[in-house]
Amino acid sequence: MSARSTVFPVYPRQQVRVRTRIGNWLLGTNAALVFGFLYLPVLILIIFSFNNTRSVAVFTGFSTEWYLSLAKNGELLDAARNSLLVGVITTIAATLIGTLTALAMERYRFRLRTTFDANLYLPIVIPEIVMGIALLLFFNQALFPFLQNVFGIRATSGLHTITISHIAFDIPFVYVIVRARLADFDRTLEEAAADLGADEWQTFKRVTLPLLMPGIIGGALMAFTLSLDDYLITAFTKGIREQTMPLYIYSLVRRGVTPEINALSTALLVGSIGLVGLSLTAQSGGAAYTKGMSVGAGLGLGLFGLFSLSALFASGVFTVGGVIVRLILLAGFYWAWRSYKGYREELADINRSGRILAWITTLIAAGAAFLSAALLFL
Amino acid sequence: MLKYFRRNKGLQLFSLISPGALWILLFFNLPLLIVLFISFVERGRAGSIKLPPVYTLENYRQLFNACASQFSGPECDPFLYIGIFGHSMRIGLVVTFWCILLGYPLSYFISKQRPIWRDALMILVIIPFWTNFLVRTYALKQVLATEGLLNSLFMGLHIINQPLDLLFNEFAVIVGLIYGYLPFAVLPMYASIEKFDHSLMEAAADLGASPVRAFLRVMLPMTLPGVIAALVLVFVPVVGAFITPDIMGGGKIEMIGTLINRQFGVSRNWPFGSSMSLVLMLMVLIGVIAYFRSSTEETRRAM
Repeated sequence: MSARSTVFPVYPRQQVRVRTRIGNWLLGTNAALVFGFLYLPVLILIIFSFNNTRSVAVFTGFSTEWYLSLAKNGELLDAARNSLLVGVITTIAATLIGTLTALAMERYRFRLRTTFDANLYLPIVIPEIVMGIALLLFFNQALFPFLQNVFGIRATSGLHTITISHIAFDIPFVYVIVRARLADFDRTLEEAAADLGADEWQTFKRVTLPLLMPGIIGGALMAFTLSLDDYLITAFTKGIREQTMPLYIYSLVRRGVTPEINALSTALLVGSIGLVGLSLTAQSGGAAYTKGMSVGAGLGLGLFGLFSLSALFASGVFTVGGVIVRLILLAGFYWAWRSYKGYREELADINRSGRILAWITTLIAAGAAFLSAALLFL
Repeated sequence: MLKYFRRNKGLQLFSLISPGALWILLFFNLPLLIVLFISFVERGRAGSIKLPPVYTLENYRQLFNACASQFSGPECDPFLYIGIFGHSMRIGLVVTFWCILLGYPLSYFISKQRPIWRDALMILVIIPFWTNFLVRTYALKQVLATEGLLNSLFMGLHIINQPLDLLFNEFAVIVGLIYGYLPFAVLPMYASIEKFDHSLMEAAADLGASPVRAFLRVMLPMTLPGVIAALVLVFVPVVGAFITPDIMGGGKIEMIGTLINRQFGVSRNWPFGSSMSLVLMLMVLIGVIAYFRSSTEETRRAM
């Protein structure tokens, strides 16, 4: 060692330490600046959503008037309702289809498998605007003329074309997430189930599906978020009348800067961060969290069903649809109660902080379900 | 019946894969084929295509020579569209450069923290991914606006007398794009740096390398896959971006995305918009394929 140190230059300790300190200081400053850059605008956005004047530069006092004006904005509520409707249908369809595709691709070997796999990644990598115009041209130049000429159906764009397109770009995302979960799957568990006498369907229902559930729920929440947030593809596939939340926001944002947009943005931020929180806990946490969300969603729907019963009695108009909708909502209680048994067992297996977190996810899920039902059915 | 289904693997596969395959083929691949078709036909009067279709290479020629169109005026610039493509690529490179320059040290900083801090900081990096892109862009717009916070602050401090034009120019678009895509750069670089064995740097120092030399010869080459992944993940979406140039550029800054959008809006030239979309898609795919060829399965999985 001492022989070598005469060959290579050795930096004095003191000098190295000073350099390291300067280096660390620079690194810390860079980190602070980057996080400041990323988060200060959002923080300012949130702060000025509570401003009591129209200024987005000088904070003059606290008020919630912009939030109140949002709640009274009919155009906005319509857009939110449309977004939610498209999002829910998209999520259900894309999750189902994406999961089936992931199962097929992971469990079976067939010709063109790798080609189809690459094809499934394409919608994720190509620019969104390309997919948007492709769908625009497909609907207007191919599908609608085809329906008109062959079946005599006059079709136009609307929420249904938006939904079809959202499903198309969401399937790959669900596919990727569920397939990652499948790849880590321990197949000996399925063999064990078969050895214990379960048939294939029982094995799937009791072993495969529960183990896949975190991936499926994570994928579903991702699909929902993407659908709720999408502007570009929606803009190309929308009809003349209906608009969704991002379309509405975009029209406002292009026009200028107002505290109403700040309030709306803040509401959206809170919503999407809540969703992400749920998605991440579903993917990384255990079954307790997914069960907790299931309980919460059931409770939220059921509570809204109960809440809206009064409206049914107050108006005195008993439509069949209204009664059925409320029955379905009230069935949420039954669902929650059924899931709760499993939830309690799972809760017993985790520690205190985990239990608290599980209950928080339950609460968030309940709130989300309640609000969604309120928007859709009020 | 059920027994037959159980024994027949082909039938099982068919029923599992057909919904996904059908949906993707019908609502993704077929639309792309239609774009390909329309990019080779002449435009019609109303903006869509001429019927019956007349095949032509005009839409591609127009891209390289803007004056090739019969609608072009006398004072036309033949390199108009090529220029916009070049400009988009230049903006893409500048944005990617800044994202890597800011993101690499940040990733290094995060990887050096204690585990609990590391997780917390990584969550801060990930949150923007999940927040509405439109909302984030608006947040930045509001700060840079003429009556925005930055201008009022500078005016209040008497640094400037008149509000600066921070919006609706190339600066705003570039800042907006960095703001939007910086997290995309941090994620893969962090994955690489986190796996890097820092004792190698000590070894290099013991062997007499200066810190700069150790970084350039040891750490950078070993974390290069992450940097390349960052490059692809930022450059690809930035080149085709539409929302940021539209909102932050206020219609004054033309990029490929806004140009394509214009063909389906005001200009009503669907065939030309289609040809540009295909060229853009091809550029992106070449980048992505090059990335997949150069990276290993392991580095991709780390993301």
